[in-house]
Amino acid sequence: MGLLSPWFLAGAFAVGLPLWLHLMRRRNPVRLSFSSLMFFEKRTETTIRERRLRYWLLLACRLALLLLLALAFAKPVWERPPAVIAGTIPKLHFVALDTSLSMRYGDRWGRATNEASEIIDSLSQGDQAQILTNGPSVRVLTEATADEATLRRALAGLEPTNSRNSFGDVIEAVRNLADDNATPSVLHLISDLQDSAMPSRFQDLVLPEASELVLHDVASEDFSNWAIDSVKGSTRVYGEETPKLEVTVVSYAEREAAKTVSLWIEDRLVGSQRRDLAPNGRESFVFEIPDAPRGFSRAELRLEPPDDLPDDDLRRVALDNTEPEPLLFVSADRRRRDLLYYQAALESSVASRYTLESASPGDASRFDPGRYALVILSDVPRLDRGFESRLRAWIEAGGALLVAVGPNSALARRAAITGHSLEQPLSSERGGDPFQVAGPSDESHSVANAAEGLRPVKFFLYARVRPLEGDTVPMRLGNGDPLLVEHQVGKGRVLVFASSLDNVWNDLPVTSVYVPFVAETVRYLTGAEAARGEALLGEVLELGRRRGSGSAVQVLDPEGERVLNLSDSVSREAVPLDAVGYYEIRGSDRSELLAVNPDPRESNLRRVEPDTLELWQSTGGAEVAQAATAGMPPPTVPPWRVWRLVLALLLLAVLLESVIADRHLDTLRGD
Amino acid sequence: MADQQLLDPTILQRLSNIELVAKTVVDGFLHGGHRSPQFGFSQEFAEYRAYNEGDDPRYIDWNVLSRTDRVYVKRFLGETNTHLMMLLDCSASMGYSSGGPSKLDYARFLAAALAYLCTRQHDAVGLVLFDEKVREVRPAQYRPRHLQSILHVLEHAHAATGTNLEVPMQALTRLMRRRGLVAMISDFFADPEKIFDSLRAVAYQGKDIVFFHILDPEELRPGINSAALIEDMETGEEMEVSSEYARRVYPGLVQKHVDALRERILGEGADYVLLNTSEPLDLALREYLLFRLRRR
Repeated sequence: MGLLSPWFLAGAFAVGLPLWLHLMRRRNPVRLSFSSLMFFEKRTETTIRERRLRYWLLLACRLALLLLLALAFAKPVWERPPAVIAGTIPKLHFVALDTSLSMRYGDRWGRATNEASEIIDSLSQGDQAQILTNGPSVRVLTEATADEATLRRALAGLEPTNSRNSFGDVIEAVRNLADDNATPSVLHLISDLQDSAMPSRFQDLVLPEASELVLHDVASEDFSNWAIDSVKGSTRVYGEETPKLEVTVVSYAEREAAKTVSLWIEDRLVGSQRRDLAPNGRESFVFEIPDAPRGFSRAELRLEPPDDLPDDDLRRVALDNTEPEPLLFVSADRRRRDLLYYQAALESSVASRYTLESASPGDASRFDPGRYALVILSDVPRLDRGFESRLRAWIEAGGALLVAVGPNSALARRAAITGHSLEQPLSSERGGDPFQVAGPSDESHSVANAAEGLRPVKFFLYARVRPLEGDTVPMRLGNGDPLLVEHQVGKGRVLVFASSLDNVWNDLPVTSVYVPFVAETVRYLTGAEAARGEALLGEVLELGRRRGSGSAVQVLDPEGERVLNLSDSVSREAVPLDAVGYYEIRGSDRSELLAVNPDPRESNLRRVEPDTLELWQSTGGAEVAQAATAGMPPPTVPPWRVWRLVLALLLLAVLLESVIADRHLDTLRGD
Repeated sequence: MADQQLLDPTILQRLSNIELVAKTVVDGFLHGGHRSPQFGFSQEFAEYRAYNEGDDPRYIDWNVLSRTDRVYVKRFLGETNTHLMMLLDCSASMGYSSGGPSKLDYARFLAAALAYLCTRQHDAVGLVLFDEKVREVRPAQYRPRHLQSILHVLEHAHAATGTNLEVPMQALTRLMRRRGLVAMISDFFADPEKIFDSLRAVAYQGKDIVFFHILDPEELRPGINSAALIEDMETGEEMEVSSEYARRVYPGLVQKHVDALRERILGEGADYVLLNTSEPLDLALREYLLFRLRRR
């Protein structure tokens, strides 16, 4: 509340005049001598009070008139805070609709849309809302708006997808949106609150400050669902192998049910098996494919009879009956111990997929790197220049290289191809320790994750690799020195291992992590994830290795539509897999087929524990929102000109005063 | 017309001599355009008039009848065998005036005029001044100098304290033992029952009473424009009065009081005359003469 001309308020002192007049008149009635009071009754006192009351009313009108007049000249304005404008604290409502696969169960989607509609209906004046969906990723459908029509239009076209829900992604998105807006926010999460949507770290669920979480649970208490959980086995067949698929069916029901799993290849029934599934149990179905067709073929595993969530009763797999891919192992170790260990580890894991060819640095010039899926340089100090140049060109075009340091390369103080600086072989004895062990590693890196960071390994010797600009270090030793360095050469990927692949500098080959380390490095460097034959919806398809040297690659989605335009086909490195079905990747030399399935975690309809939800809601809260409101900067709302209302009241006071005074004067005239 | 104006109380108020007032009033009244009922009250011959049915046969002039065979009645100026005792209220309330002559002045003028008139008609006249008790007494007599005595008392009469109407009535029984006329002049701000109690005692003695009820115009319709603190002139009691009450309620109560008085007084065989101090005195004199004629 403010005054544009406060000095005019001094006019309010004029109220003293009517006050004085009325009080004087009231306190000094006319004194008259009369012959007798015989005919004046006692009730005349009551009449006096009535007269006083009328005087007070007249006095009040006159006082109000003068005060309003002074106030009108002072031109009061009201600086309105947003809370006053709306009557309540305006808030930004994030309406997050779960559009994941599980929302197709029963009538969940219908209830969810009703909830969203009710939220829009209940918006207070000044509130704004924003529609978000969290499947396949968090999508913001509208800007923050108070327009109900806009919000309802956004809701109108929504349908549940085949994607997976993630509460962590929702919170992160809301946190980013809330950062752009100082208004207290309310997150309306309309979901079936699947437990599988919870992130691994509760910290990822912490609400942004000044926000409140309102959960709209649309799940029913009772549910029964059966789903194909996984398909393992040889989706890629090399040579004359007989593919074998192991299908796991899981029950999320409290009752037993008989289920049939059938395998279809290119719409041809290969086989079917029927089993009784125990409540909340698992059952494996193994299918052998004796006459797998050559090349890629579309295989489907169907679970019957269908349940209330039929979308997880079908699993797609791309079968690939092809030739094994060769790997080139170049070693300077004359005794070939590194080759011995490496080949044994490779055969133990992914033997049938790859054939290992070996060469010495001197013979390497006879080999064409382009033929191989991966080149391993084990303790190679230098290469033939011709081979080195071909190898570099191949890597830059998307090839893959594993460099392992050894005594020879350490003496050269330089890693081949990558040019990393290598310091003298470092013995732990020089530091006082008999050996070094692996230190903290980047668990998100697949190699570090699969090999458990090589923590059981004792490193007696290693070379200190100095990472170059742009390098990443997924694994380190206990003293902080790099153990595994990832280096990018053009479009190719290179891993530099700071110790040897034999058992001279370390005991890696004789530990349990050697095989997964070898298998994962091969899979990681060759991009073998595509060879799994299937991927989950929402994953990313990497194109670098498939593109080859300077050639284009095209991706066709399950509908047969081109995903990449001409420019993207030669430059784009990855394509999101956002549709369920078979993707076809057409490279320079061959085509691949990739089956994309919904995430099996969506099949588990179990809800989050109430305690967890309560804890989640407590991370924000209305108190925090209100506290934040107190510290908000004043909004730029134009002040309300109160003096207009004052003028209206002034006019009313004048009219009232006229009416009352006229009645009073009329009485006097009558007397 | 000039004589008529002299009957106006506001003009009479300017006259300092009460005798002059009385003469002015009576002469103005007798010589004015008013139809006077004075005839027949004295032994002085006035005129002959053709006999009309209903005339008293005692006044037929038999001599004229025998000479002319026409019936005439004789008319006289009046008789002197009447006693008039005036009871004048001099209480404090009689001193009230809203601007013109006070009720007491008006009463004095009336009493003086009546005394003068009676003297002219050879009636014996007496006077009692009273308030809470009897202040002055002049027994009824017919002597030329008696009028001066009465006028002197009236000239010095002033409003005093409260009112007690029983007091003059008791004095009257002592002073007036034979039949006669009684004129009670008061504002009658008293309980009507007490008035009638004393009235009955007098009436049973064979006296004829006329009540001159004198009120100020303000007492009939108060002109109180705002809340007023009214003081009772007799008791000194004060009361806040609203104009609304005075305008709407009070006149009705006064009228009710007047009506009650008139009804009870007439019911007892007495006469009642309501006099407004703003009106000329001729009305009072006329009413008195009519009263006297009826009681004769």
